[in-house]
Amino acid sequence: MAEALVPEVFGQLALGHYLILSAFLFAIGLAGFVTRRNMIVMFLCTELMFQAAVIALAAFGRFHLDLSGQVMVIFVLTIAAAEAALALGLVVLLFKRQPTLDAEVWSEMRDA
Amino acid sequence: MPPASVIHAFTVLAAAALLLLLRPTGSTRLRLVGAVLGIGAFTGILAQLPTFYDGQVMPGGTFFLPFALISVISAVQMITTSRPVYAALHFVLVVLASSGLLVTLGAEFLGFAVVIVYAGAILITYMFVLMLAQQAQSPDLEDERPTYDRFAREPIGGAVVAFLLLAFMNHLIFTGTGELTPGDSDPVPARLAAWERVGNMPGRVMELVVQVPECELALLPEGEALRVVPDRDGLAATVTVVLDDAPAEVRLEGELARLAIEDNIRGVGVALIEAFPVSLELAGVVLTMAMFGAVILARRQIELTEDEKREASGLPRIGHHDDPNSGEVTHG
Repeated sequence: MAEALVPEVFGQLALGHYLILSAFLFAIGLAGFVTRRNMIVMFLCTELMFQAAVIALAAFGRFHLDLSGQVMVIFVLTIAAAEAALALGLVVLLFKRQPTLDAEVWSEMRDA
Repeated sequence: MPPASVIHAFTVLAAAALLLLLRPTGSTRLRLVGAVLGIGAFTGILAQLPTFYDGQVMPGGTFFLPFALISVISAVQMITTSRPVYAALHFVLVVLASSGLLVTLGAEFLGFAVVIVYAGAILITYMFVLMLAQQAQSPDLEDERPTYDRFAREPIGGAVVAFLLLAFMNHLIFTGTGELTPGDSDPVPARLAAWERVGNMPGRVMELVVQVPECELALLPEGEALRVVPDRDGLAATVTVVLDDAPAEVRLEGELARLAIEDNIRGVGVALIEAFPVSLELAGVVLTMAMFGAVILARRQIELTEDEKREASGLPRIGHHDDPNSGEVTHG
């Protein structure tokens, strides 16, 4: 019953479907990182890119029937956690100096 | 393989949709047009893909499209909303949808781990900092929200950069994945390897053996390794244990055999320890260093004068003639 509701092309999947989804999530995360000015949302966008990598790794692991892909995801989770801790510490530090989350406040540093 | 121009046309369409959604003064109608365009472009690209390579079909089936749409739509919402807290909540939706995809991919452990680590730990920390930083503002009125949240910085440049990358990735996916060789889809070698893995975990095997009828009192053979001999097709195995002080052979079959070999958590754990032990240690080091780094970054900076530092380490003070404090008598 459920199969009849979904067009035939999506009834069967190949590796490419998961990779395209991963590519879209990564591109959206990158676009968000470039266009958003709120520092915390910028770091959230990097987490989105990590999430895209997680999907790609798990899909490759399933495609090759190899658990290494899933092991890699565990390392991605580790790095994401470390990155979140450091990034938020940095944001708190910057927020103490200038009470705003606007990343452009710090653009004067680029010529220094 | 569809012509490259079709795929790139869909990519450009997706970029245009994102631009419409990123417009600072976007009306509801424009946002709606953008959303429809974006969803159309995404499903359009998906529809161009072949549905299998070398006869290998990926799992997921009808679950894929809903989860994929939820995650892409929430991701776009996340980068276009002007409320940072909503952005974080939309990211939670992305994580939940992709954990659904992980479960359909057979990675149950990761599905749960991602929810626990991302939605549970990381996002809570983000929300905490977000609310700490925003307590002074009243986010209820659109105009009172800070401008850096309401207006995108260089939306055209951002969309162009991101979707150039997306076009490259799409091209690679369409031309490259067909040349990959899928894993051996014959399940027998995989099952035999799984039995070998289980054979190295006597405790786990005994857990299963005592569930076999009339074997509740089975014991590990003393002084020798547990022998697990799988059948030729890997669907069942014979285990040699001690029963009533005599060696006995117990068959693990049916549901118990399935439990023994189809165990994602144990499989991932063994793969982690066997194949990447050094990386595991390094991950631990990275986490420790991140913890130190966070503590050092976020601690309160106290300016100490040279004399105070010397006093703290038990040394006598040095008097400077131009220092106003130098006239004080040292206590040390």
